[in-house]
Amino acid sequence: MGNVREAVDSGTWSLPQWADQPPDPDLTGASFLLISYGDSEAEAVVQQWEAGLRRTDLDPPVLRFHASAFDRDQLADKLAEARCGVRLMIAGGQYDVLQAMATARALGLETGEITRYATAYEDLPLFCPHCQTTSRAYAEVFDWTDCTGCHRVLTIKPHYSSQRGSFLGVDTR
Amino acid sequence: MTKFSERAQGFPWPFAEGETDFRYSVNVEPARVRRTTATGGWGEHLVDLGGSDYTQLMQQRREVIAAHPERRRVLPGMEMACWDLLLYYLRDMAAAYPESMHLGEEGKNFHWRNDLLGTDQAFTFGQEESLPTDPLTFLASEIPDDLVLLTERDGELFFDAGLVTFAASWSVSFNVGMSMTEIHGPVPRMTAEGMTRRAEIFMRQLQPGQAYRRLNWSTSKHRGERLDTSLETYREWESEIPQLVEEEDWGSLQLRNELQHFVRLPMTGTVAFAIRTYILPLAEIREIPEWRDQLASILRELPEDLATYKGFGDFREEIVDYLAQPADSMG
Amino acid sequence: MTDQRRLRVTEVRSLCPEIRQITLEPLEGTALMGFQPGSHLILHAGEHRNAYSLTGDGIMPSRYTVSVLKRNDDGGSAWLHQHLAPGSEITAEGPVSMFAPVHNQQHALLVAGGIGITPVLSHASALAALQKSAEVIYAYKPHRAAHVDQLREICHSAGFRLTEVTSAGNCRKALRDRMSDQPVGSHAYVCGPMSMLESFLEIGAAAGWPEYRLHLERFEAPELDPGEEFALRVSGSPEDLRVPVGVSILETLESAGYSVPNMCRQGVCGQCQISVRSAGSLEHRDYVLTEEEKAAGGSLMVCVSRGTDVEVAL
Ligand SMILES: Cc1cc2nc3c(=O)[nH]c(=O)nc-3n(C[C@H](O)[C@H](O)[C@H](O)COP(=O)(O)OP(=O)(O)OC[C@H]3O[C@@H](n4cnc5c(N)ncnc54)[C@H](O)[C@@H]3O)c2cc1C
Ligand code: HEM
Ligand code: FES
Repeated sequence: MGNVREAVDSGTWSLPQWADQPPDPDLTGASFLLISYGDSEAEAVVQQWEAGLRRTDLDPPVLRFHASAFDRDQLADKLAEARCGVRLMIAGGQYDVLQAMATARALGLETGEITRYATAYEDLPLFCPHCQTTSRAYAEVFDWTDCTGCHRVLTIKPHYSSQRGSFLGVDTR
Repeated sequence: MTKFSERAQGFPWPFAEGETDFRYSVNVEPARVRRTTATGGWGEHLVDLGGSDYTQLMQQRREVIAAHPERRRVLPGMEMACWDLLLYYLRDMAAAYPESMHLGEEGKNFHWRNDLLGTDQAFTFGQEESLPTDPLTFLASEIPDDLVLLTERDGELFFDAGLVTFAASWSVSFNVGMSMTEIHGPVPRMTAEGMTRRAEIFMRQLQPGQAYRRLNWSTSKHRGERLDTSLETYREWESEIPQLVEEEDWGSLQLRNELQHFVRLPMTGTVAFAIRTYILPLAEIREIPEWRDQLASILRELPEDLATYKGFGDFREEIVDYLAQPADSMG
Repeated sequence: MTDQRRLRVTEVRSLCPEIRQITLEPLEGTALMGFQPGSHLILHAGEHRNAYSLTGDGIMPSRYTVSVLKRNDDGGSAWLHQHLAPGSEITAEGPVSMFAPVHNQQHALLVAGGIGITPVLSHASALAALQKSAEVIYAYKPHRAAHVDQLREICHSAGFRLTEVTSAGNCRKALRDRMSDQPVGSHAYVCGPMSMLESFLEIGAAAGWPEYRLHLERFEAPELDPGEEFALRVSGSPEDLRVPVGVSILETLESAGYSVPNMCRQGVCGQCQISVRSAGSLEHRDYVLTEEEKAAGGSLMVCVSRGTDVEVAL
């Protein structure tokens, strides 16, 4: 991987890109699935999205739900009921949003059909290649943190996979 | 009689004659063309069995596969691509090495024999039950190359399946599913200078059945013969180079060279990316005047970010000096 | 240009008036290359070189089959109808893949109109062989339902569904109905007359399908506007050429003695792609290059595209 600091200095990394403000809904969609995870701030973002959609002439079918945290089966059920042409919009903490994105992609949506907004960055999904666990890490890129699977101490690399919805951790103590 | 070791003779020297500085480029050329070098030559076949080390390499490969099931990753929808790959390579090997590799074909029924490894296996195309393992593992147990399959979606290429045992400090279990841009994120300059894009355009334009290749070099992340320097087992090998540096044992540092092949598979349109890894210690390179001088000049000139990425940024001068000393003065 | 080979005709069968199925096998001692569903062969039909979709699933084929609609009395399709019989040999290029399935699709919606059934049948057969799911809409004129029995049989497989329609109105209705009821992660593929492709795009967009989920195979392209006259240069040649109104760059180059690979001359087959050195402006009118490639301006399909002050490299 080379030295991480050097890599960052020469601008070579892959990180998820986030918008500063909640992005507008993609009105080419025929129906919308809106999800908020965690706190009331995320719920407020999603309510704002819904209000925006209701105001358009299209008035498309909108399904909205809130959950305290990302749950794979719950999202899979909602997507199984949805039809091709749906747009998924997710707001919440970084970990929940990135994991939900990865799940939606595995179930067939492409990035172009997903709108996402992070209301907080205090956690992130961290993949451990040594034991294959993805942890919810309360840490940032370049920090050290424990893997919840094998308890090795991992450095969080500035390397992100949208397939996994997670960052890479390496045991480089 | 020749003075070069078997592995030096077959080593695909990664620099063109007269090249004295190195930068990344989309350095691709048609496959199956023999190149001669200062020591011998390489490149006549798609699969290089090497020499007497073939069985030892395959033994190493099979041990890693058995101990690390996570090195094989196949995303849903890629099953047929794995068969496409298996068939392409078995047919190629039977044609390239008729004295030791044989493929009998009758409709969808095949019979593969590899006399060097003692494999003797009948199977039916597309039926996993007819093989002792899945088709990707079967092929990876017969050839020394690491295997990656890419598919195209909306103009981008994604790494959707692979079996990789000899990665140079990266992780197949993390990288699977990623786009070319995400994968090459850690490589300095590559995406910023437009190379990732050009590499992708090159692969998208490959026609069914066409095979191309490129070479990639770095210094090795380990000291001995073992090739498994995957991130998965980082702790097992990460101390080897720091230790070598402490001992100033520069002759044991190895030039690590990857001969990479690109093939567009006919039935699925998948791009196969096969990586054959070669290592050669500096001690041997120093015996070969053309290689020694060229490598020293390239190592000396390489910009800092590339030297760091390739792994010798912290001891560049030492290895350049080492290469400059006449070999015989060392006894 | 793709490799050429000789193939032997082993069967010619009439599927319905004007449509014949031609079975091709390799000459002794050679194997046929497998292909991706939706691929076509280029057949040398007398003086014509025409594309015909392979109807099989492409998995380890022992023979190739194509179905040819006879369109007129003196073209390539008429030649194939008149000259081919069991035992004849023919020159073929390919297979060429330009209408491939997307690997990670969760489900496929396949839409065929008339002779457009040929690549759709290939997709459906391959999906059935892999035990994947698909839904098919087949629109045909009652007396011209080529391959309908074969399609019905495939659609008996688990996870398949078939809708047959015999009028343009019912076809639009079926598209509206079915395009709004496919699972998340589906991709849709269409091959048929121009009006059907237009309905497919319009109804798909209204049902929220992003462009990258809609895949079109064009057998022919619409009539093009004749355009304006402009200047053309070939790199390395001092001569300045003019491309007149209603004449293509390809024809201009051919008259000037250059030979350029080509086939469809309608912007659908991708054979006449040429590098552009520089241009005042480019007007891409083909269906081959992606929007991104068109914007980059590095190459041009010279059978249909135009521009101003264009310099090409041959
Ligand atoms: C990808 C693809 C798949 C197809 N699959 C099928 C299929 O499965 N079944 C089927 O029936 N048809 C298929 N077609 C259509 C087929 O290729 C022919 O276009 C069709 O048979 C028309 O033949 P014709 O005899 O009327 O035309 P022809 O007179 O043979 O003309 C054929 C093409 O040659 C071009 N041409 C005209 N003048 C010249 C010239 N001076 N020099 C060179 N070329 C010229 C024309 O633009 C025309 O497109 C397919 C087409 C494409 C592009
Ligand atoms: C023409 C095509 C390609 C080109 C030109 C190219 C180029 C490069 C270069 C220059 C590097 C840095 C290597 C070094 O300095 O040691 C690199 C690294 C790498 N490449 Fe490629 N590459 C290509 C295709 C691929 C493909 C198809 C894959 C498939 C998965 C791939 C996977 C990787 C990986 C995993 C790394 C290591 C990245 C890391 O450090 O995490 N490359 N590539
Ligand atoms: S000749 Fe077919 S695209 Fe131009």
